Amino acid sequence: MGAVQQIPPGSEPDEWFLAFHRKCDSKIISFLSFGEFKHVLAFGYCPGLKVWLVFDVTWKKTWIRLLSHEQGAIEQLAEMTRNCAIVAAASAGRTPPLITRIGYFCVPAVISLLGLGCVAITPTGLYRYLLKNGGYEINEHVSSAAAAVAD
Amino acid sequence: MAGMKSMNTSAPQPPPLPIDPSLAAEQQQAHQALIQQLQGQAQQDTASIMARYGISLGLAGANAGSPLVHASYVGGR
Repeated sequence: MGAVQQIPPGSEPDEWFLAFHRKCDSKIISFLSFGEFKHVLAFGYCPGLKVWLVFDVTWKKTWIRLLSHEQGAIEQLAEMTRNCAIVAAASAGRTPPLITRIGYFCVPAVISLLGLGCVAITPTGLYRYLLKNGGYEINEHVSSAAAAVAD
Repeated sequence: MAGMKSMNTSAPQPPPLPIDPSLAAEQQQAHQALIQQLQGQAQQDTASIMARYGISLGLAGANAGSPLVHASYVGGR
């Protein structure tokens, strides 16, 4: 407990940005992910460290990346999330429902990361849950049809 | 199995640390920079798609509240 209390403030994001991809590399995952979105990753800013933390659970592996804010992280993030819907959401700090512990893929991983109380199993379901529960889309100019063409 | 029984799956959370105003301000600045970058990129992408594939496709499914959509509708009539 003592060690936990020594973690300096600002060393973890308290607000996250979720990038909902409309395409993913795996055809199987793309087929199973009903709805508009096929993959979700999360990133957030750690002000105490001046880095952006990217958390991306893919079929191949789990990626955790730190991007320096002072060395072009914003541009890198923008390129990584091109044609994605980006939703901002605060950490809820709740214990995720038991059903989200079944399986390990992007959606339950992000639910656990943010401490959400939702039972979504697809990225589209998570997207809808967030918008109904205080999340807001920050780049709603790109239409889904336009993004699909761009992909 | 004995180890499994003693495993604590819900560790008590430390009390929330007081929010440092300078960190909060820096976070706000970083978030604002990100949002501006992403919104600018989204506007550019949509505009280029409209130019390439036509306004109707660019508008399909777009958010009705978007100022870009309003501008395009006005321009299209």
